[in-house]
Amino acid sequence: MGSMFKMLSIKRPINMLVLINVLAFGLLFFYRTPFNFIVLYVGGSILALSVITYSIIYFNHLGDEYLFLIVSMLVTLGVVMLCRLDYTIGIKQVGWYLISICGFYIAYVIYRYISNLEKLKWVYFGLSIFLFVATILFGKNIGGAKNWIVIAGRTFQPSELIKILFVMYLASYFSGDRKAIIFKLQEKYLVSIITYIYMGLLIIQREWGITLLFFMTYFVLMYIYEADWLLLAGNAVLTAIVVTIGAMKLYHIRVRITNWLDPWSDIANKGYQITQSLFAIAAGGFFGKGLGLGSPGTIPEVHSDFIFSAICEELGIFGGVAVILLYFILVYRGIKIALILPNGFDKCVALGITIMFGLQTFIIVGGVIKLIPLTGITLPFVSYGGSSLVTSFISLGILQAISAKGARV
Amino acid sequence: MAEVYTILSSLLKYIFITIIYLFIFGIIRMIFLDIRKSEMSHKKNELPKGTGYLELKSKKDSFYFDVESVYPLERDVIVIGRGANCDIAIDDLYMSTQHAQLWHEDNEWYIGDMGSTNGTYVNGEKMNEQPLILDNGDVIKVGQVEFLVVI
Repeated sequence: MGSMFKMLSIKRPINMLVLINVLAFGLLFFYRTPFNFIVLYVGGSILALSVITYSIIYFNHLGDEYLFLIVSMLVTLGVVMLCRLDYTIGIKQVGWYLISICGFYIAYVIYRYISNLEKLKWVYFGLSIFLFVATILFGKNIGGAKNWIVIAGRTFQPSELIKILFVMYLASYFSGDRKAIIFKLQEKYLVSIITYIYMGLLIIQREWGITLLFFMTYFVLMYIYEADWLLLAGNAVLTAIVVTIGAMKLYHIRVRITNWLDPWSDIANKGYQITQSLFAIAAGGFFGKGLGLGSPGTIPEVHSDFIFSAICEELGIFGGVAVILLYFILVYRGIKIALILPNGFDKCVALGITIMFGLQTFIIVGGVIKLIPLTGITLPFVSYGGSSLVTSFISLGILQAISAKGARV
Repeated sequence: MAEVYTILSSLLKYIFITIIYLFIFGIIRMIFLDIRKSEMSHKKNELPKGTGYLELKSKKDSFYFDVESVYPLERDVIVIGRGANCDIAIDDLYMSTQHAQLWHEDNEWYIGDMGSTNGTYVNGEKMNEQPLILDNGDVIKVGQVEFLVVI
């Protein structure tokens, strides 16, 4: 009896994960008549994948055990929401979750057992450029932006993968000796220029969210590692000038800023998405309307970028804050892993990945609650989207490998 | 049917939110225990030289109750038990209120069972009423908790 009590204690987070999974998918089973058994299969698969992976990490001591636990809660909440919106998307997301977990293990093994990854700086850069060029040449136009590649009938967004390559590139620069002079340029200026090249290529694909994410990641890493304050200030001023000019001249940026300042004046067209999101959050109140009782379907793109509004509508502001808290402890764990490591490539990669998770969440949550101008980017681990989920899990696998290395130091 | 669903969903939303916060609280608690464990291992190094201590051998987060990683043997008589006034108080249901006693006499540490229900084990063997002399490296088990003796 004692061990049963111990196993089922509410102090064990994994039990809470199981409980919410059973209750939420059980409730969704009754959502529409005739009862939908597929929802139960979806819930069971999510639960099985999460518990098995968590057990493997926990019992084999594969580094930090909290990272995956936090993330599996986020994935569960995401899939519950997707199944409620449209269970066919939920099924697809489960498939992507399976692939993501494979990606997680592969990234873990590669990062843990292959050394000298810090010397591949130009490989990371070359691969990113290759992916950019491939997107521009073979890209498919979906939703107004040419940023998708079709492989074997499945669409795939290369810019998501470039996020990891960018972090690896920056980490191999910041952890290196940083004294090289290439083309008569000090490397620190060259890295700035390369970052702007990345951003320029992303703007061609109209990936405003990821462009912003790259700049902010670069800026934060530079703030941590770069002793040259003039370079930091110079970058900030230059970007401020470019954004101001862009806001005046470029239609795409101007629309975003006017929509942010006043979405109400053009509520039927350009302001429609953000105002629907605000209505949804307001309708939720403190505890939400209850799963399946709100109407988040009125928000365009609710299953990817705007899933946070749907969570706020049906689980209330307490649910929304809980999601943000989950990201909070995820970032806390990432920073903690980075802090105990000695200076070097691993530390910089851990920081870069953690910063990217944090900033990406800030950019999209800030966007949908109208705190900052809305730039389309997925909410990591929660939004629907194969490329995004797989990439996030590959990053998590790298972080997991780093934490396992750190445990031995 | 739709009304039943509405009632169910309106009730369950409170439960969902409670569970999510319990989950977050659980993780924060585990992280907190983790940090305290690493602090305690610092504390172990700071003990005055020659002071013995009991080191937790079981995995701390496998228990539903709180237990320290290190208990210094700073007094001459130390009582282990579930009661709050014990020197080493552990809220383990398998422990008696006053479970076992350690005492220092003639430069030796002795252990004696205090008539506990589930008994006290030294190196895997259940003790009888006879007190035993402890050696460095002995493992004592009280309730579900195992300690390594470092003296």
